[in-house]
Amino acid sequence: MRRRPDRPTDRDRRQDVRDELAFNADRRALAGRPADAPASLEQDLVQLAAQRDRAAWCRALVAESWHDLRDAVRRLGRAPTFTTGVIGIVALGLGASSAVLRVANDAFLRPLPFTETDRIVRVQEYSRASDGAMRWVDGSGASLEALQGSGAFVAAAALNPLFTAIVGRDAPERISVGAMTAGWWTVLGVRPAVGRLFTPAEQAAGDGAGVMLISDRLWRSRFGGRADTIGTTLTVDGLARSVVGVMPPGYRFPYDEDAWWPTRVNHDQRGFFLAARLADGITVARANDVLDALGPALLRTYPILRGNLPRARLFRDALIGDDGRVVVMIAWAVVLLLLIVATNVAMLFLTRLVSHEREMAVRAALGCGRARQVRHLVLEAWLVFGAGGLVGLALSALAASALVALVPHVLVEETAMASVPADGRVLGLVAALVVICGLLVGLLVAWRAPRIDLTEALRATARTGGPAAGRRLLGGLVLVELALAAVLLSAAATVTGGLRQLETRDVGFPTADLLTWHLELGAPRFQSAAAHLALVDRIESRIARLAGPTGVGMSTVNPLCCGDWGSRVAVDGEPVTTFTANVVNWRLVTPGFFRALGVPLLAGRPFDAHDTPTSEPVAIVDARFARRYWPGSPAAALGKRIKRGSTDAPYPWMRIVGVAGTVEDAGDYTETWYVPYLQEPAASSSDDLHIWFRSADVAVASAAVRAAMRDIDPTLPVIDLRTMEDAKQTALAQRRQANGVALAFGAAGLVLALYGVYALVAFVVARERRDLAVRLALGATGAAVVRQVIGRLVRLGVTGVTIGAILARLVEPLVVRALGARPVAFWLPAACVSVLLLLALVAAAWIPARRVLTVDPVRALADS
Amino acid sequence: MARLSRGSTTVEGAGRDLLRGTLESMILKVVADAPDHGYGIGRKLEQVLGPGAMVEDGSLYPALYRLERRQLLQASWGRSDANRRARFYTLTPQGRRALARRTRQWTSFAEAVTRLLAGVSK
Repeated sequence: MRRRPDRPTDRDRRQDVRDELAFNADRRALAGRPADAPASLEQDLVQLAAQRDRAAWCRALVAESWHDLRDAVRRLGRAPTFTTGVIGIVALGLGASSAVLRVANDAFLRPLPFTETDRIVRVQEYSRASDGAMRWVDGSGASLEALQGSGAFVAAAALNPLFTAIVGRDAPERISVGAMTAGWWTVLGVRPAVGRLFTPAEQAAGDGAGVMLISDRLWRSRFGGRADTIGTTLTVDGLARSVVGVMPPGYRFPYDEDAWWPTRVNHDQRGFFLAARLADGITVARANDVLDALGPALLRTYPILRGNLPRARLFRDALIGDDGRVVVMIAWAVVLLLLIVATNVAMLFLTRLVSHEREMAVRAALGCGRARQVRHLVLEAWLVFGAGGLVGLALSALAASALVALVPHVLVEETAMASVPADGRVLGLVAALVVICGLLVGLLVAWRAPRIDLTEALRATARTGGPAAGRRLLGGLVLVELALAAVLLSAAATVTGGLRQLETRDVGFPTADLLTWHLELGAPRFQSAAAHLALVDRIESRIARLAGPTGVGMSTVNPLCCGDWGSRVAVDGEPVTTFTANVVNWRLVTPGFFRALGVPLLAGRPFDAHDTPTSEPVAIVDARFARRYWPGSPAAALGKRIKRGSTDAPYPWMRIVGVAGTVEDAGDYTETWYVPYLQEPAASSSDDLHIWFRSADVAVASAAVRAAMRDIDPTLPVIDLRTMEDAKQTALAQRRQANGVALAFGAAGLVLALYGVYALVAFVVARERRDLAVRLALGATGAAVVRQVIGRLVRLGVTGVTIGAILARLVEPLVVRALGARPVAFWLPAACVSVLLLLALVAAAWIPARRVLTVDPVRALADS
Repeated sequence: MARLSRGSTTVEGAGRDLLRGTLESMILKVVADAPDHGYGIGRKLEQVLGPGAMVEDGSLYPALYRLERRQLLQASWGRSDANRRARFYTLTPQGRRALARRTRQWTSFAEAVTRLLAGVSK
């Protein structure tokens, strides 16, 4: 074994130089030659000698490292099973991690479509719920005025997100449009790739200017990317608009838009996407202080704020706060999996180390220092983690595209994410994980190394087991591994339980043959209540011809997937207890709604044609709502009065005329109330209209629907025409993916933990052969010996699994919240998981332990 | 007559580097013939360079240390003829290769200069 020379000190060098020069001077004197060395020579030579020693030390270090590295490769090569196993484990762990990192990187770290991301903020309005949580709503014109008057921003602008249709020769094409106020482009600092932005005059004219910017995507799909597109006119949203510019490729901010046009907003409008650019020297926190200080005055001036106040957040923060929870959750799963991987690798290294005790002892006796042994171990760990990382990166390239489907849809739209290239940051993170994990494993194993008793190891060639300290550490690692696997599996069980619950639940009405589609009535010609009602009337009479005996129903919201309106409800005679207690789903429905969907009326009557703006205001509540306020029979709710908002709100009291069966609504709230579309003035403020009818032949009916809708209004696109069953399944698709990933993590954790247990038992059995043989020879039965080996492990396993279950219980609410799920049973699945883990543990231990039964006592004793 | 010295006034500019490189080559050659201490190397160089030549300690010793740093020479303490403790320099395998290379380079350079000068004089 080569050894690095000790580093000479400065004093050694000076002494050497002096001696050498003294010898020279003496010889010169003897020869009668005058000394000609300058006075500074000694100092110069000492410096040169220091350089020489430094260079020599570096060369030795490099040579030694290279030697160590080759040594480590050779040692790993001598144990191919061990090496392949460890690399496989690491590849699994790092592959999963890097796949998730790629997606997380894309969602959270990808550049937004503008520069200066630390100066540009998104502004939303917030209120605090009774539980302290912030609830965010999109901005109003009032907030925009507040931003512009606050002095904290250079510019602020609003974008009104619209869905509308391009009308041409073909079927109307639905596109997403942003109508923005002056200053939008100043805030973002984005310019069109071709053409120009709006002139101040066009901006001032608003919608009437008849100009628009289009996305690169629309430019290519609709105009074939021709240069003469600028100046072309297109009929969009019922108005001929001239294209003045094309935005750069990939720019479709913020809502996947394909066109933008100027607009103006008033302070009493809401539903805007507000963006602002911070003034020089103003931080986000400072800007929010300014807005907070303005708060009381704003609330007095603008009733539309309804107690909400504007608040600025950097775009990234606003995004992650709302929709990043799933990705954050997966990141935690990755951390757990990596811990299992590291534990496993450490365990395998330890078992190998213990079985190489003799070799280690020999090395130590030959002068292989402690530091050197630690370096060997860390190097070996780095090598296997590095190789595993490379394999893992290759695997993750395959897995990442599947993971994208998991990213919340909103986030995909807002970041225009379509694919996930691996970039330097991901590679860097994986490299960092390799370095950190390798170091941890190497150090953990090295920490164990000094407990090897040198003389003992050299003398007792085949003494039983490892030293007690080593055995305790191995046991501890098994414990940690099982606990972590239990956490992962329990989390997977929670996710699966939630999914099963959603898949199998009765939504409150049959979904298979129920056809649905929706319309968006954002166009100016639908802005009046009369226009809305006229359209509803036309659809009802025309579609009734297609529908069977259950007729046609319409609503502002599809309860299983799309749209979500909630409102506060005040009950006559009941004190309002908390701010959120009375917020329920608010559904505006036509008289045919309940019959068409098959939602039963448990008491009272459905709405009918007599419920008009001039008749007595009426409402229907669902069974849950009725039970909460009027327990007992549903009929108890009939005749009671409720109203929107609080008891003193300026809305009329409504009489409850019916109690409907409970619908499992995908909305934010668990209870629902219905009001007549034909009676409620708010109906015309909703741009969404969902339509349902039942049909035995869905394909034929779909074609008929398209034809009928062309008759009714050829400029209105028919959106999402499908059965309610499809809608339900589509809404579950993302949950299924999440479930798949959770199960994959759980399974990976299980496999890794079992592999670790298997390897450990195999090792212990091999070590204790002699001990076992003695006992067999003394008359113990093989089964008893096996039972003892397994019994020891099961005790460890029970502790590990119990700790895991407790940890899982702590983690469970986070999982449920991340998935936006309702709570599911925890202890039963957790118990199943624990039993499963223990059974698997016994199986993993049994296979190698069985070998004991084949031990021939005489042979085993003779071997020693 | 060349006077090999640090900060020499007789050799200017690029010529100084050439001569410094030359000094190193000559040291390698002397040590290649027989390992020796610094004083001995200096005297042998003066013999080779001819009467009147002077190799100053101020340039010799730094050159030795630099060669040692580059692993062309290796130094170790030994006994001189007079049985005194002295630092002896020997050639390393790398030093041997460097000497061969420098000899080739010097020879081809010298031949080229010789050819050139012969051509000019014709």
